[in-house]
Amino acid sequence: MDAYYLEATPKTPKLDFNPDAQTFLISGRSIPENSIEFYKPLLDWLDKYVQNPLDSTTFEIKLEYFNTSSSKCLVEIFRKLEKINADGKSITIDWYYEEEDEDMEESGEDFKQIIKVPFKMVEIKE
Amino acid sequence: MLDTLYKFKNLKESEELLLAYQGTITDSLTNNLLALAENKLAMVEYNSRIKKKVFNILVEVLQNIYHNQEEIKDSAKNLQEIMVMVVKDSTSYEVISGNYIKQENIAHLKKRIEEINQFTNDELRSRYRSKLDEGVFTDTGRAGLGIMDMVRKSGQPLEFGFKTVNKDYAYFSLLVNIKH
Repeated sequence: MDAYYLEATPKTPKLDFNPDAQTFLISGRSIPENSIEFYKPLLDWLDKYVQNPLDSTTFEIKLEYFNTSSSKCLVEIFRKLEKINADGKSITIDWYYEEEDEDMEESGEDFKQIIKVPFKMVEIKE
Repeated sequence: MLDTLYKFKNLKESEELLLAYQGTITDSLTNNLLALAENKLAMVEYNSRIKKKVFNILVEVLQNIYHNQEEIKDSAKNLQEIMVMVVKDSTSYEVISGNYIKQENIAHLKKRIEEINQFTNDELRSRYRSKLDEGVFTDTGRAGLGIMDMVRKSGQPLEFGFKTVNKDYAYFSLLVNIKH
């Protein structure tokens, strides 16, 4: 399957979904006015990916900022990955946050509560 | 009652005013305002946690207004003017905004802010999570989380006010205080 890649902009994150590398990544900022429009192609890509996923996938989220509209799209993305987990293959979400950044930590905890995929909180020490 | 335009009059000569914008709002303008705000914050705030918090809240405030403008897009030009300010004083930052809304939408907005203002931290967390869990957007693509996010991140109730312009419109003022 072809990789899905998008370069970061001041308002949108880098999206690096490369099955060959076995690692998926969202990093940077996600503050677009219309987040559905931005994430729709990725959601479509994931629909295909979950049909035939790798045995093991790690999904890293290293966001600096994100708006509430993006947070709903993140839920959508995580929900798609639940299928991989349900099919008996391995998927782990790693949520990175900087030490003392309580807002980012709390956001991670929000997702962790809601999502039925192994969700790991990873603190980045300064 | 809070009135953003009045507040601006009192603040405009003050050094506490980091940023103020009055005019119509577009996508590219939001980008420029955010870039400007970020530069300003980088100059006055060394604590990156506070800097992020203020920036994040500004994003939500601006985007809340941006989506609101949809409902008044057919209104007179002067009613499309918004105002946004970032203020820093000795104890806190304030993100203050003003925009015109339809009279018919006041009651709902007022009720919503008052309700969220009263939540305890635990209530706010669980309401936020269940809203996030719903995973659906409104017809206009809004998440319905903006106001909760402002209260949650600032850790304080929102100040607000409505001032009647005419029988159809009112001016909505909003202030988010963030202690530093």
